[in-house]
Amino acid sequence: MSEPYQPNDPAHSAAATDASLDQAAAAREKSIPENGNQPISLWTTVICGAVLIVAGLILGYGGNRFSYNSLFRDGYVRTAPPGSVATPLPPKPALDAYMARGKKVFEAKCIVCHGPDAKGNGVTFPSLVGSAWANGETERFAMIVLNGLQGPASNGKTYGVMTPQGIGMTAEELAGIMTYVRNHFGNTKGDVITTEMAKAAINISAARKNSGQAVTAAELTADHVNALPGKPVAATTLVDPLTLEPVPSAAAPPVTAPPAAGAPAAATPAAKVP
Amino acid sequence: MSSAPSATALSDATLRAGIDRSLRHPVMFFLTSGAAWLAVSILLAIVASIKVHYPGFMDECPYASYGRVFPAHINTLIYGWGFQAAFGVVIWLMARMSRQQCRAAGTILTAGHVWNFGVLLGVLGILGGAGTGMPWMEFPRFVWPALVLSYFAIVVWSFIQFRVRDSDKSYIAQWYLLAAMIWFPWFFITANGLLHWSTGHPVMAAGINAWFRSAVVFLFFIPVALGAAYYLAPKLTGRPIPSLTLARLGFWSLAVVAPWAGMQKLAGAPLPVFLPYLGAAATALLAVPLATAAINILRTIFSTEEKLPKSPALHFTLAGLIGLLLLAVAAIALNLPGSSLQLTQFSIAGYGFDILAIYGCFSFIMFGAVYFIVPRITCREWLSSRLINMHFFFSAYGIVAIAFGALFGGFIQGSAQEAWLQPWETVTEVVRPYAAVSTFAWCVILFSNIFFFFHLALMWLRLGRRGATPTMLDSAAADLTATGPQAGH
Amino acid sequence: MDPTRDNPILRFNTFWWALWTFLIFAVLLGAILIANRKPPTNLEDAAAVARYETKQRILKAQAAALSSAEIEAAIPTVAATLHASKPAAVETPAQVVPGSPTALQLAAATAAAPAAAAPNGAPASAGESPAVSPPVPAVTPETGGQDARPTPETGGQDARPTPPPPTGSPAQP
Repeated sequence: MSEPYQPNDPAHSAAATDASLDQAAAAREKSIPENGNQPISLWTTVICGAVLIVAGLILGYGGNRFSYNSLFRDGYVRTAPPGSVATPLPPKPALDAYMARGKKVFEAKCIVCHGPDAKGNGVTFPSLVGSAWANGETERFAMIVLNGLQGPASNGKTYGVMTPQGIGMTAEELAGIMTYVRNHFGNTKGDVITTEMAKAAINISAARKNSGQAVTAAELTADHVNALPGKPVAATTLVDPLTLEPVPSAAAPPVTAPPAAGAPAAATPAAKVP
Repeated sequence: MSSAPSATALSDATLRAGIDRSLRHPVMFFLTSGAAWLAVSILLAIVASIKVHYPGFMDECPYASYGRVFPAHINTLIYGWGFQAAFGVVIWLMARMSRQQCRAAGTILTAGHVWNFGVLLGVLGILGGAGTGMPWMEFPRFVWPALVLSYFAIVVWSFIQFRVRDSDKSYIAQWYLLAAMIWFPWFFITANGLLHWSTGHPVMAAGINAWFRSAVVFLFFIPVALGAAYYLAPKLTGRPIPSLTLARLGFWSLAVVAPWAGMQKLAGAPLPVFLPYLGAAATALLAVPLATAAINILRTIFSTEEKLPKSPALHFTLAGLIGLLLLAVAAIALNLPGSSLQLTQFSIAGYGFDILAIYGCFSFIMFGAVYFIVPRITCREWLSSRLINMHFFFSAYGIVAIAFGALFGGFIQGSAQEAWLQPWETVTEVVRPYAAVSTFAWCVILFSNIFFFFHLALMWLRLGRRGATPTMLDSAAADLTATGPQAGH
Repeated sequence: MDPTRDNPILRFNTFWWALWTFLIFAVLLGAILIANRKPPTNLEDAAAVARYETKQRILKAQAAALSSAEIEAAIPTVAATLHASKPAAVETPAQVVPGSPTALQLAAATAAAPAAAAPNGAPASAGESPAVSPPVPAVTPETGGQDARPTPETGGQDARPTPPPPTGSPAQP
């Protein structure tokens, strides 16, 4: 331990006691002064404002933060890494492509009431299997899907009120669901409702006199026993499964052959959620 | 002090000395054991950091596997060093500002021993494999109630002192310290209770843990650091805080914003979407209280053209405030959802941010407070300005290397992760140099803390220099009179 | 100094008020948790209850079955057996490590007949006989040693990125 250090400050006598040395540190302390009242500088305000804007932008980036309806955020796509070429999906027959789209819609919306086999329950939900309206004129079917149904169904019996499904339904979904119901569950209509026809159906539905209300059998019989306008597409036409547009049939590989021959391209799926 | 001291100054000095004497044992205990845990933590940090770039290091020892040694490092840093330094500084500051002697020194000392024992058991549990696996909460389940109870026993006396204080006004530092003392049990008991006692959705448990990690930093460590800085700056320089309004704004904005932060660490997890976005926005918004407090205190220090005294406490406090500004910038830079949040989310940048907050800001201000407090409670001056300088410069170099290395390296690592056509090994190769820098920086910091611990231990053993003049950083050529800028230190 | 400001009663009160302030959050949390305890109302909660019970049962059974003492005792025996066993020559082409000299010899020998490519990564553990030869993968691996990257053609019929079946699945649309 070092010997006691004697400061040569004239204020301290050589006989400085332990007590005063003990207090020396406390004695030489300054007091905390009164707080000042200077105004906040402009730069501080500007910086804080900028931070606030950044934080707001961060919050806004989330979009609709409380939407739980979609599993994927809008615009969420897996992008191909730079330099790679996104391989398009192989084309499919139109019937398969539309039915695939419709299957998803069915399992999301229709299965709840009409059941997994589309037979309904006989009391509140009618069966779609062999239904005259489902297999009949496409415009009539489309009006039911989009607007819901009230009153007697195609077999004359009155079931519950069908809720309209048209809100938020895209033309591709409408085309898909109609094609699916008409070609599945025992129905074998064999035709494809295209996106073009579905768009026309949506327009017709919006232009209805009672637009917004459910259709009734009377209105259907009176106004809507038509085929939807649009170019018919053969069931075997090859379409792109994503856009449902026909592709030039040039050299599309047959999709049912086992792909053991060629090595598949190791590319990213540019998957866009429908 | 060159002339005969006035009566009030003498009574002030006596009052202060009495308070210091009453607190000597608890505060010295906390500071010394904290410094010891800091050294342990840095050793563990070095081992953990080596394992990132050289995994074969000590791989035959099960106690040194990364999954044990890294949690041990971070938990000793927080609970061993961080909280104990905070306790020591908080109880001394609250006693001084309330002008009340401490009547419960024995209780506080006992509770401090309980805290240490709990941390020791916890660390041994982690190294032995009984860690819970929740980041920053890895102590085995039985430890945290002991920590909470000892916390109560340490801190409740400061509330009593504040309540019976003489004056009607309160210091800015007192707001921050009181708030930190109240917030800690709130988030600590909530997080530990929810995660260790009740069952719930496990993904939400991860979210609560992420919120807890942010709360430890921004609802305890940063307020304690700010409280200490708001005390030290006007005390050491004799200059007033320029704007009380700005101080109020800073305090209340911290109180309002900080509890929302934290869940951005789980962006992309199957949590409700608004949670990570709120967390990211709140963390970015935290730049407001951090920057305004730093600006306010820096303006205090630099408010006149007079030369600043070369006081160690002031130097460390300044360094801590610069760390605070860097933290504010990093809080914004790391939390932009379109770009940096997803780049740095799974990278070392998060670690760099935490270490910047805990060491770069909080620890530096705590060092400053330690260099101010210890001479007063031991009635000895620091032995050697060279030791203090070594501590300061090596710590500063080390923390700058870690902070910038980890933050920048995090971006590089994130970019390598995003290039997903490359095999994953490229990511680890890219990160390797930054991890090596981090190891080196921790070694430098360990070197600096050896000086600190050694110096502090000597003071604890009352082997400091007896004298009336403080040890300044240029003591070799110091004016030995007690007048002028040295007065006050 | 105002004598009424500092007295033992005030200190006592402040002590308990401070403790209460510390604990109020935890008390509120406990109250909310207790008030919200209700029997499972949806599928997830009901499944969660069952899952927690199953988990406890499994943990208990595992702890009973997996005593570390038995493992410690078994390690020397297994080690001795492994040490004593001699590596045997590899029999089937499926066990040959691609790129090794044996593989090159085999490839040269069967160059005429296009054999089904052996899947890479098949473990060639010495001394063990293979159970069955692995199924022929529907997708041949690319040259260069990279595993075939599963493409969405093998997966769902539409654009949703469903997880594609692992290589070796014969089901193709």
